[in-house]
Amino acid sequence: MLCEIEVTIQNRLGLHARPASRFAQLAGEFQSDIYLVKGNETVDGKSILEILTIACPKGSVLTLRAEGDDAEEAVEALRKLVADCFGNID
Amino acid sequence: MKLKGTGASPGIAIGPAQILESGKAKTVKRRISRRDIVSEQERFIQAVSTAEAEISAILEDIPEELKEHSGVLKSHLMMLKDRMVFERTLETIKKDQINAEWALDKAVQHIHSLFAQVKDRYIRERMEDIEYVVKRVQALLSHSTEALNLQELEEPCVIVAHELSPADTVQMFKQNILAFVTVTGSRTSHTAILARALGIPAVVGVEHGIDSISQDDTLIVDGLTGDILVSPDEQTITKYREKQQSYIRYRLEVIHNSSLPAETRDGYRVKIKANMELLDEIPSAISHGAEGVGLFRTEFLYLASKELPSEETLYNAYREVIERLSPYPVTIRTLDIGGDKFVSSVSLDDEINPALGLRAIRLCLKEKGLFWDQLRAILRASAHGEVRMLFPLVSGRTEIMQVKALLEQVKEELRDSNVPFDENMKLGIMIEVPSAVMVADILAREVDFFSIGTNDLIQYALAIDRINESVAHMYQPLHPGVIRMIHSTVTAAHNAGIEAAMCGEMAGEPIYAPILLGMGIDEFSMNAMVIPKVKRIIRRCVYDDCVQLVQRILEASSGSEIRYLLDEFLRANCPEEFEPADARYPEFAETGSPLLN
Repeated sequence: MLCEIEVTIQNRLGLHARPASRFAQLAGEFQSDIYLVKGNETVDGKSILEILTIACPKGSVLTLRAEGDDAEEAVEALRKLVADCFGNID
Repeated sequence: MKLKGTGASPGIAIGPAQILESGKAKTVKRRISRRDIVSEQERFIQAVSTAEAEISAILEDIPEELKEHSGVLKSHLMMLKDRMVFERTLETIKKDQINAEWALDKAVQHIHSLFAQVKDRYIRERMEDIEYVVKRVQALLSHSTEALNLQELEEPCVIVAHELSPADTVQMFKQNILAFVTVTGSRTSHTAILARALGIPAVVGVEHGIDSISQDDTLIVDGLTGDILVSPDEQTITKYREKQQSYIRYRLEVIHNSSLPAETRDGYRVKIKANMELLDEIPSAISHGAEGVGLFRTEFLYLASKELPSEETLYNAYREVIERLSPYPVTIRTLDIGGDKFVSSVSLDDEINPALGLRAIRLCLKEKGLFWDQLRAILRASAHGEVRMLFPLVSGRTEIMQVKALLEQVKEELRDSNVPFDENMKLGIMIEVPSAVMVADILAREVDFFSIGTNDLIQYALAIDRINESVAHMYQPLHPGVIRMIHSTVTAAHNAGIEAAMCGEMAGEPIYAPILLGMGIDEFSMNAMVIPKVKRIIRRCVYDDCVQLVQRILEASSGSEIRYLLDEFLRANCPEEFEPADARYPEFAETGSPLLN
């Protein structure tokens, strides 16, 4: 199963080390492959370092894609994490 | 000898240097045979799990004061196991048949090349984190004893290092550390943040000359100016001991004064608020005793990115400031851009005379879409606490009417979609254009408060560009023309029954406080650092004396005559401000004021 939505980075400092680590950590809990797409770059959503290399300042719009059995749950959980500023990180 | 770096955590330390070696260890490179691949991979896995255990132990032991910084170490843990570090190294060991150290080094170089392309400086600096983590693993692989053994420090000392990882800094918490000096780092690096949290002076980014420091050399570290003095003479040490005392007194005074009201000896009270721009400044505003924010500059979000910030972005930022400052009010100034400030998202033609050009409210009234989003964001934020809206560079009534009409349309839109906002939000204008001063009585009928912006007002009133060295000396806040303008603005406000605030630099200059008090300024808004100082002067004054001082000043014929009258007043009322022993250390460094030097 493939599931895909757009998310906007809300926290002030963007998708920096701590938000990226929370994202990768949560993504790692799912069976599905998780990808983040920014422009024409696609990175592994389970890798904190790959996420950091696409440098997402506040306001960036990314495509969040999951492929696998739990794709839907994964996308929903990760969407919520982004919307909550990764648990209120600055 | 004197070295220079970036002051990252204020305070002065004097003590012996403790040098921590952390020269880049050379990675041993060797090829391995096919049958050694598995054992080499095992060796790497073992080193990573030991590193994990070490970092976890530091995390568990993290002192309560530093709990909020534990996220950094947690992200280090994740980096260790990241595909690009962990799996890639394992694969490289197998594919290239090389030892773990070399394979790890290759993985790091690959990450390095990807990070080098990242434009965002903040994220690029996170390469540091990867290097800290990798260094730990490399040290474990090579059984190097280089890892800092900080438990052994006995004497109080100044730590001098090429760089310190957050783990190093945290480990040092319980040690007898007087200050940190590092070659790498900036004000935003972890060491700097941690040092500030710990209240330990720190100078980072000392790019030149750190090698000239030898073990046990006496060092003076000034964490505010970024100066490091190596083996200073007795006289210098004595001077810095005084500065150190002065700083300690200042800190105590901040703690003592910040909770006291800004009230004269005869009970006349004014409000003291902070000027701010970044969310990081909120704790400082509160700890220095601000009763709210008198000027929240909103340009940052527009200058920070290439694209215009969305309404949502603005709303979230405003809401955070408002909620964190609550119950105190926040005055949000709408976009004051154009002129000398450049915003890449709005194309502005080059102007011959930008100070007199399309800027601030003029730009907003032209770029209505831009303004609309900001007005909506501020209004929506007003549902979360007391907000006042302030419009910059108003020159006459027409602009106010245009702004109010636009604001009414925005409110209508919000009401239609049932979005909550404060219907009674107060509106104010900056008084910084001479024409606004002349018609202040007319403008006062249209708004709820004035806020005098002295920097621009003085520049426009005296026709002086402060940046222009040939005329900069004529920029005189005490020029009778300026003083009379401020006085007539306050009078017009009070006659109409509205408040007059001041948010320009003059409000934060302690020595001007008696004049501003005597004129009847209701609210002083300034850089948070100077609040305790201004409060101290206000608390020494008698309101009636200030009023009399103003009466005499209004009749003075020159700036120097006014200065003389003011000095006389200060000498009589606040003699300690003139004591040479009072080094006024933190204040003048912070405000750069020539008057306090």
